[in-house]
Amino acid sequence: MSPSRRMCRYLTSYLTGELDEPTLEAFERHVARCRACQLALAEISPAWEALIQAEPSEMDVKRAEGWRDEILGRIVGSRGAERHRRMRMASRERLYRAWAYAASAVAIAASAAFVAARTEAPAAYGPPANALAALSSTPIADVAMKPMNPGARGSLYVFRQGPSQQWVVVVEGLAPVSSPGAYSVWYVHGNVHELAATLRVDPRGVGIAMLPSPPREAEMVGITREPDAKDVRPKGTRVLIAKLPRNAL
Amino acid sequence: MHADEDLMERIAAGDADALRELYERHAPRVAAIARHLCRDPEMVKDVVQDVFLRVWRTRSYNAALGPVSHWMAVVTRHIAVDHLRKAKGHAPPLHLDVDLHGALDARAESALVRADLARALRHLRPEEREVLVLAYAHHLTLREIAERLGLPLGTVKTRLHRGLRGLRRQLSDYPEVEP
Repeated sequence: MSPSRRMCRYLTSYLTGELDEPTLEAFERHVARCRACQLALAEISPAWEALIQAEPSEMDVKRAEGWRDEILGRIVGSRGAERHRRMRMASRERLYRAWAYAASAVAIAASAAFVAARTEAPAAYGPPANALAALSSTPIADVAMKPMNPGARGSLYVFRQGPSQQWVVVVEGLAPVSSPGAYSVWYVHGNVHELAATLRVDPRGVGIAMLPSPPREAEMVGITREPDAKDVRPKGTRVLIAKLPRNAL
Repeated sequence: MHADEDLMERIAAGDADALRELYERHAPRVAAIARHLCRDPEMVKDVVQDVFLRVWRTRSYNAALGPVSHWMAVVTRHIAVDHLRKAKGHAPPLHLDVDLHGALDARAESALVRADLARALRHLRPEEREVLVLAYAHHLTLREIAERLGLPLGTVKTRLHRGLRGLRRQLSDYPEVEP
């Protein structure tokens, strides 16, 4: 099951109000690209909304009005600096369209070939993919990840293929993890960790994963070793981390 | 008047005026939902503030989540339940009998709508109604419901889904409560 599909199981908890903030936010982003959740929500959320909705009384109206300046002052005041950053970011809106998680076989082959060419990875990636990569991919960024474990090495690559971007992480020197454990790749902003992919390494400690485009506010990408690949929040140990390349966003 | 979705786009771009407009439009309803759950006016105020802080801080709202008003109702419930749990130290509510009429009457500002809901709920299978009422009226988590009823978590989720689907079918006979 892909990391994205794992989010589907939170549909009911989303409605009943049981998700913590990071999971809630991750689920809301997940819905934007999950047709199954969209259909399920359209089917059941109106009934739930009818249950929890409440008509405001005169007292609610007066209270809300009385609190307005204080509440908005706190919110906007505390985030004033970020406001300017957001205004700048707005013009980039179109760059952040949700991108389907599953990458095409061509993209994987092309990405792997580029990596193979850059890192002299084992010949498993092979000349045909190399040739394909040369024809179809334009490298945009190549970021070395900072190791948090001795011996771990990793890179984040961003390619342009036609109108879309491909995000790929490649790692070496990681200890293989037996199931149900795995390495998880996260997009990080503030204290929010959004699961981007699960990464498994071969017996030589080499692994590759295609990532969805990062959310707009993401600042970092990190890899952790998790005891359970199903976890959608990091519980394990940090292995590699890198700032996202701004020129690719 | 701007559509809610337009306001959300402007808020995402850092437009404080749009946040103010959204607040003026939705804060009373947010306060009403919070009041039904929390009662304590200070906690209600905290919930209202946290809801609009979330609107301002995150940009995770998208059209797939439904109309802005629906999304804000769900977010309000999340935040209010979170406040309640922190205040109560995760203790489950003491009153756990499924009292459909009591639960609805306590929220009966809109008597007709609530009467329709009560009628619609009565048409559900008892086991589905039980899960639905425990979840929305007694604010139990799915896991708490599973423990209380001695059911697997998956069964509770299935019953909740079926209950909501059934409720929607029932409510379609009552156009006044259709969104």
